[in-house]
Amino acid sequence: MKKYFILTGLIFVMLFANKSQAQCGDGLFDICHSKLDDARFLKSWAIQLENQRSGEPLPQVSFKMPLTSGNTYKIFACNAEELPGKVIISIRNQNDDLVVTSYMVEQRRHIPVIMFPVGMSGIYTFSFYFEDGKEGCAVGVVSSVN
Amino acid sequence: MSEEILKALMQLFAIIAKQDVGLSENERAFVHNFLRLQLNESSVKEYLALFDSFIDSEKDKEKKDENPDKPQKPRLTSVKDSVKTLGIAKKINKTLTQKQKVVVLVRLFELVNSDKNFTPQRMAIIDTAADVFNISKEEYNAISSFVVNETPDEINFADTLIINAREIEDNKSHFIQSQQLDGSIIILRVNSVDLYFLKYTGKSEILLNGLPINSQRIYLFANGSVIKQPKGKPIFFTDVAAKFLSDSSAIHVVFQADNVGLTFPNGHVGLRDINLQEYSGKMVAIMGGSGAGKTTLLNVLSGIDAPSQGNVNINGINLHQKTELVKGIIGYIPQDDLLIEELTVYENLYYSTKLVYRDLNEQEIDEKVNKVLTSLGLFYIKDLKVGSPLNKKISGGQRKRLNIGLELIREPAVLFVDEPTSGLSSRDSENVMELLRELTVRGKLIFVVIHQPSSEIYKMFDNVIILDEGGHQIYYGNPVEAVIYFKTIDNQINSDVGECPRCGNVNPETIFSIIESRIVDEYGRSTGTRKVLPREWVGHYREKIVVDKKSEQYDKLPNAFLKPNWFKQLKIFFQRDLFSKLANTQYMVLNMLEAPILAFLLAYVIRYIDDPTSNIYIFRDNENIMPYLFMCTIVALFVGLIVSAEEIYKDRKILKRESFLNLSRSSYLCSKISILFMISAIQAVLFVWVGNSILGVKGMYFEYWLIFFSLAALANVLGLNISSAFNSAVTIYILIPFLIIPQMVLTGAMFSFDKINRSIGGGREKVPIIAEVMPSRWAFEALIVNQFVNNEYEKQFYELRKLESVFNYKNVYYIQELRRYVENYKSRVLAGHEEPISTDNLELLYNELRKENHSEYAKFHNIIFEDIDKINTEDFTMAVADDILRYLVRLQDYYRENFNRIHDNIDNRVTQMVSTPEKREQYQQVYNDYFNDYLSKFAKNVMAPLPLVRLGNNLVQKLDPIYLDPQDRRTFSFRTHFLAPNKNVLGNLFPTFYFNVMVIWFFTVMAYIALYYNALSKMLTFLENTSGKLKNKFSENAFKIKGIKLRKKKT
Amino acid sequence: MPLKLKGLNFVRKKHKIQPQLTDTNAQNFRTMKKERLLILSIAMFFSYAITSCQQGQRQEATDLLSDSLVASDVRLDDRMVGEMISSIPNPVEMSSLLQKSGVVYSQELLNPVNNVNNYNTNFKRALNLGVYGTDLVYMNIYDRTVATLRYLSNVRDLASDLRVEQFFDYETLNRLSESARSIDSVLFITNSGFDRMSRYLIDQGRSNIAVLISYGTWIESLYIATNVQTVPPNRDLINIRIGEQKKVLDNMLLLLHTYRRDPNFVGLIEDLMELKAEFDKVTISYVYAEPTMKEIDGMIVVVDNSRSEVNISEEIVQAIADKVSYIRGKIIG
Repeated sequence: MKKYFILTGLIFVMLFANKSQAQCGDGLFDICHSKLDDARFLKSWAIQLENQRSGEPLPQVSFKMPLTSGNTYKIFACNAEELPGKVIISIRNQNDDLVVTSYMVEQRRHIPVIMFPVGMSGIYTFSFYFEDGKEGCAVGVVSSVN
Repeated sequence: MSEEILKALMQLFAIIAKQDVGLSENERAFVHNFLRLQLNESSVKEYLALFDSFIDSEKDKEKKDENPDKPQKPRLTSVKDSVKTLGIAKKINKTLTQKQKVVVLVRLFELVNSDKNFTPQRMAIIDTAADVFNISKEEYNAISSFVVNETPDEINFADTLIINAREIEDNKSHFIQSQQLDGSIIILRVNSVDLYFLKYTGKSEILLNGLPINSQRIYLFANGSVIKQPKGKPIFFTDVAAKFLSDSSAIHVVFQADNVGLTFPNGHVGLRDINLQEYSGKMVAIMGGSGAGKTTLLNVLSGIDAPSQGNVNINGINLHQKTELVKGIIGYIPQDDLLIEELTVYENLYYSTKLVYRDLNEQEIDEKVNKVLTSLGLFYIKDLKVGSPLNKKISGGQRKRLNIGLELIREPAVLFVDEPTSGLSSRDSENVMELLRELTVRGKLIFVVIHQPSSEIYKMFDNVIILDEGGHQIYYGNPVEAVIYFKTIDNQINSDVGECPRCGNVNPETIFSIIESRIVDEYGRSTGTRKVLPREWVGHYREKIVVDKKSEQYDKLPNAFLKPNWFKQLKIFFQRDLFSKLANTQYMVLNMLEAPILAFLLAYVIRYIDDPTSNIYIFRDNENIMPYLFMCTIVALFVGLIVSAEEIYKDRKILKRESFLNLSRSSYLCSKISILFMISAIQAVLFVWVGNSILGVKGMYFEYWLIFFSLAALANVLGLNISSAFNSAVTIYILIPFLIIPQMVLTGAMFSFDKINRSIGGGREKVPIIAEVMPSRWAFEALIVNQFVNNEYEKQFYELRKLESVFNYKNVYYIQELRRYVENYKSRVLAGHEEPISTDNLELLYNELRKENHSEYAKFHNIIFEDIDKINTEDFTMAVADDILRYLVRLQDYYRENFNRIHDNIDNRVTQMVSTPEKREQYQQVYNDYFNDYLSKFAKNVMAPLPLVRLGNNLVQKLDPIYLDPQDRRTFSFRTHFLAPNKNVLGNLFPTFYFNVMVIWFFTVMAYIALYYNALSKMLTFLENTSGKLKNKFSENAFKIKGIKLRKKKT
Repeated sequence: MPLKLKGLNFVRKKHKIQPQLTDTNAQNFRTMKKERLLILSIAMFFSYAITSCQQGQRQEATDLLSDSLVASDVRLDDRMVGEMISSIPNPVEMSSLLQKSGVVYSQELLNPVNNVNNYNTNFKRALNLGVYGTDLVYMNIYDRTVATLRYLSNVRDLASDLRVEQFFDYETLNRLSESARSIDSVLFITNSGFDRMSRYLIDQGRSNIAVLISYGTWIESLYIATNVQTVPPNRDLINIRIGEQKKVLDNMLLLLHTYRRDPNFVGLIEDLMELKAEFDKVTISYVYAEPTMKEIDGMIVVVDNSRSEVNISEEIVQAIADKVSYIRGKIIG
C-alpha cells in the first residue's frame, strides 16, 4: 500500500464527462443534446433494448408527451455506437393514429430529424424500437423550435 | 540610647564614682568621653551636669550622714547604695536587651578602670548590677579580667584573641599575627550575646572603623568592623570572628581546581590550565580584563559549565562528575536580579526558604527569614514589594543584599558571586562586600568575580586570581602582594611597596595597567600590541608562583540539605508563582479580560441575520460558524502562547540559581504549567461562554471548552518551550507568528487540503503529514466534527445519514465509475484495440474490487467477486469483464435498495416529527437552533469539484467526509481523511472528538518532555555551534588566503 | 443474498479485534509487558466506553439493512411511471407562451425564497423542488438571471436533501452565476437537470419522488398561468393552454394513483379530483386528418392537418385558478 505515497499521478475523473465514443449512458445524452442547435430542449429519453427473441414481439418503448398546437417540435435520436441497433421513432396522437415515423420503409432509410408543427394539441405517444429488432441503445430528444 | 537609660546610667556611674575615694578627674573625663561618643555637644553638657548633680547630691547626703571627721576611710558599700543600684539595674533590665546590658556592664568596668580604683565597694556595686543583669559568673570574670589586666599574658583565656607580632607561650587565647604592630590588640568575645570588645595596648595609631583607638578605652568590636594598622593588612571583624568560630560546627571545605581548561564547542578557548586550592573561611577575588574569562571560570568552578580539561574537586569529590553529592553545598549569586518583582522582600525570602528546608514549620521559617532579613539590614523594609530595577521600590544595594540573602538562607559552604558591586554606589558596594566578608566568618568559602574594586574592597580579599586574555591564569595569591609582584616584573620603582605607605590604599588598577600595557611607537602613540603577551605572563607566573596543593584528610561533606519532596516543591513553586501573579493586577486583569473581550468582538461582529426581512437571529443561517470555530482555535493558540511565552524567560535567572538547590525541574515546570493551565481553563470558560452565547451555539459549551482549553494548554507548553530556549523577549515575540501562522494555514479551514501543494501532501486521501503535526488542525477538526455530528438536531439522524451517504456514494458514483472502466474495456476490445485496458486501470479494478470484497457491508450482502485474482494482464478477458459487470450490477442494486430504505426511513421519522403544526414548530426550532447550514456544507465538502478522485490506482471518496469512516483499518493507521467522524484506533473506531483531544494532549506531553529536557535550547545550541564551527573554518580559510597574499607581497 | 439476522453484525463488530490478536499479533502481544497491557486495556476500555454510546444508533441504522430483493410490482410501477411522466408538460412551454404573449413578469407569483427552510420531509421537498424548478424556468424565460441565483441555490439544496445533488452540482451552478450566460444555457441546464433527475429517480426505484417533482412543476406552471394579469386576446390563448391541461390532469391522476397507498399521495389525489371537477367543464374537440410528410434538408417535416378546439369560459378559468391557488398554497405552505 505504499503506492499511496508514490503517487503515479493524480487523475481527476470526470463523471459525466463526454467521451469520444458514444457509449450507452449519460455520455450519449450529452452528445445528443449537443445536436439541439437553436431548438429549446424539452424532453429526452434513454432507450436500451435487447435483441428481439424469436416468437416474441418487437421490443419497443413508448413515452407519452403533450404537444401543443401552434408549436413546432424538433424530434431526433442518437444511437450508441457500441451496439448494432439503429433506432426508429414513431409518433402517434392520442387516438393512436400514426403521425410520423423516422424510418422510410420504402427507401429503407433513416431520417435523423423530424420537424413537427402541431395542429392538434394533445398527448402524443413516442415509440422507440431498433431496426430489425437488434440490440441497441439510443437517446431520443424532443425540443421546440420558435 | 534613650534618655531614661542615659539617666539611669549616669546615676549608676555616680553611685560607683562616689564610693570610697570619690570621683577622680579621670573618672569624670571617662564619663565626659563616654557621653561624647553617644551624644552631641550640648546634650553632653546637659548629661554631664546631671552626672555632676548626682555626685553632688550623693556627697551632700554623705556629708550629712557621715562623720566628717573620719575622711577617706574605706567602708563597705552602704545598704542604701546597694538598694539604689538594685533599683536602677532593674529599671535598666526592663528596657535594655541582653547585649546592651553587657555593654553597660563593660562601661561600668571601664569607669572603674579609668582610674584603676578597684575598691571592694565599687566592685560590689558592679557585682550587684551584673547580678541583676543575669550575667553569668564566668562571663563576669572574663569581662573583669579583660578590662582590668593590661598584658596579653594576663588575659590568656579561651574567649580572647590576641593580635600582636609574636605568639606568647602557652597560649590559650586565639591569635592573629601582625608583624609590624606595636603592642597588642586584645579582643574579648562574650559568648552568650555574641559581642566582641576590643582594647589596644600599644602606641601605633590604630584605626577602628576609621577612628583612632585610645589605648585607655574598651571598644565594642561590632559586625563589619575593621581594624587598620599603619602598616600591614587590615584586620576585619570576620578574621577575628573566624578565629573564634574556626573550631565550631562549620565543615571544613577544601576546594581544588586542577589544570582546568575549557574549550567552547565553537572552538574558542575560554580557560587554560587554571590551578587553585582554597579553604573554608576565605574570600577569593577573580579578576581580569574584560573578556579574560572571569565569569567563565566562575561558571566552571561553580559547576554550571563542565571543563573540557582538568577537574574541580570539593573535599576530593569531583564537582562535575558527582554533581549530586556536592551541588547542595554550592551557592551561586549571579550578577542579575533573582528577585520576583511582584513579591515583597519578605515573600521572596520566604519561598526560597520553603524550597530549601523541608522540615521547618511555618513559624520556624518565619523566624529564619526574619533572622536573615535582620542580618542583612533589610528587616525594616520586609513588606515592601521588590519592584523592577526600573520601577524601584528598594535600592540597588538592598536588592543585592536580598539576592545574597536568597542564597544565605540555606547556608551553602561555597558561594560564587558574580560582580556583586556592579551598578552599586561605593557605599552600597562596600556594604555588600562587608556582608560577604562576614560570611567567611561562618566558614564559607566565597569566590567573587569583581571588576575595578576600590582599595577598601580589594583589601578585603584573602586571595586573588588574575586572568588574562584567553583564560590564562597569571596570578594567584595575596592581593596586596599582587601589586608588588607585577610592579617587580615591570621593573617599577618602589616595587616592594604594595600599598600607599601613608594612606594604606592599594590601587588594583596598577596591576591591570601593567598587564595590559601597550608598546608605544616612536611618536609616543600606543600601538595595539601588548608589551607582555598573556603567554609571557603565564611564564612568569609558572616561574614564581607555585600553587600549594596538599592532599589532606577531608571532612565528610554534609548530605545535601533536606529539600522538600516533589509535591511539596510543586506546592511551593505554585504558591510563589500564584501569589506573584495575583499581586500583578495589570497582568491578572488583562489575562482575565483578554479572552472574553476577544470572544465578544469576534462573536458580536459575526452574528448577523441572514434574512433581510427578519429581525430574528437564526443560528442555522449564520454562515460564520465555521470561521468562528477556526478563530476559536487560533485564539486559543494565541492566548495560550501569549500567557506563557515569557514565563520561563522571566524566571530563567531564578532557575539558574535554583538549579544549585537541586530542586526538581519537573516540579518547577509542573507548577508553572498548572498555573498556566488554570489561567487557560478560566480563559477558555470565559471565551466559550461569551462567544457561544452570543452566536447561539447551543449545548456544546463543554466540548468547546475542552478544545479551547486543550489547545491553549498545548500552546502554554509550547510557549514555555520557546520561553526557555530563547534569551530575549523580543525573539520570543517574533517567534509567535512563526508558531501561529503555519497553524492557521494548515488548519484545513482557510485552505482545503485538496488544494495545497502536492509536494507537502496536498490533494491526497489523508490529511497532509505537515498538517498532522499542527495542533490547530486537530482542534478545528474536532470542533467541526463535534458541532456537526453531536448537535441536538443531527444527533437524531446522524448514523442513518451516514449509511445513507455511504450507499448513495457507492450507488451513484463509485460503482458507476468502476463500471465505466469495464465498459471501456469492452468497447475497446470490440473496436479491436491492441491494449484494451492499461495495467494501471487493471490494478485499480483489482484494488477496488478487493476493497469491496472486504468492505464492512460485504458481511451483509455477501455479494463477493470471487475471481478477483483473474484481474491481471494475463487472465483478464471479456468473460471476466462480463462477470465484473454482473457483479457490479448486483452490488449497485444492493446499495440502491438500501439507500432507498435508509432514505425513506429518515424521511418517515421526519414526517412523524412534523406531523402536527406544533410538532413541526418544535422540529423547526431544534433545526434552526442547533444545525448550521454552512457548516454542514463544509463538513459534507459539497464544494468539492468531484465526488471521487483517482489517486494512483485507487479511488478516493471526496464527498461527505463527515459521513465517511476511515477506510484504512490497519492497527496503527491513525491518520485519516479530514473531518472523518471516527478515527481508527487499533482497528476500532473511536470518535474523532475525543481522539483529537487526546492527540492534542499527546502533543502537550511531547512538548512537556521537550521542555523538560530543554530540547529546543539544545537544538539551538547545536545549530549555533555548527554554524560557529563553519564560520571558524571560513575565517581560517580567509586567513590562509590572506597569508598567501602577504607572502606574495614579500616576494 | 441471504437475509442477515438482526444483531449478528453487532456481535461481529465487537469481537473484531480478537481475530487480529490471535493470529499475527499474538506473538507480540504476549511479549508485551504487563504495564503496556494495562495501558492498552485502559485505552480499549475508554474507546469502548466512548464508542458504546454511539453504537446504539449505529446498530439501529445497520438493522435497517437487508438484502431486499425488489418486489416486482414496484418495478412495474416504475416502468409505467417512466413512460407516463413525460406527459406532464415542461414548464418552458407555458412560460415562453406567457412571455411571447407580452405578459408582464411578476415576482410576487413565485414561491418566496426563504420558504425553503420549511421543507423538511421528502414529500415537501420534492413538491417544492418542482415548484422552484418552474419558478426558475419562468425567471429565466424573462431573463431575470440575477434573481435566479437564490432559486438555483434552493433547487440545489432541495436536490441535495433528496440526495440527487449530482444534477445541480456547485461547479455548474457557480459557472452559471459567474457570467450572465445566455438564458438558453441556464435554461438548458435547469431543464436537462430536471429531466435527468426525473429519469434517475425512476431508475433508482424512487419514482414517487419523480412524480412529486413533476406534480409540483405542473401545479406551479398552472398557478402562474392562471394568475398572471392579462387581457384579451392574449388571455384567450392562455386560457386555451390552460384548458388543454385537462388531458395532462388525467395523466397526472394516473401517475398519482400508482402511490395511492401513501397517505400523502391520497391528499394530492383528493385535491386533484376537485380540480378535475372544474376541468371536466372544459370541452375539447378534435378533428383528425391524415398528416402528410415532406423531406427537407434531410429532415422530415410533418404537415399536420388535424385540429383541436378548446372550449373554456372565463368562469371556468377562474374556478380553476382558485382551485390551483388552493392546491399550490398547500404545497408551498
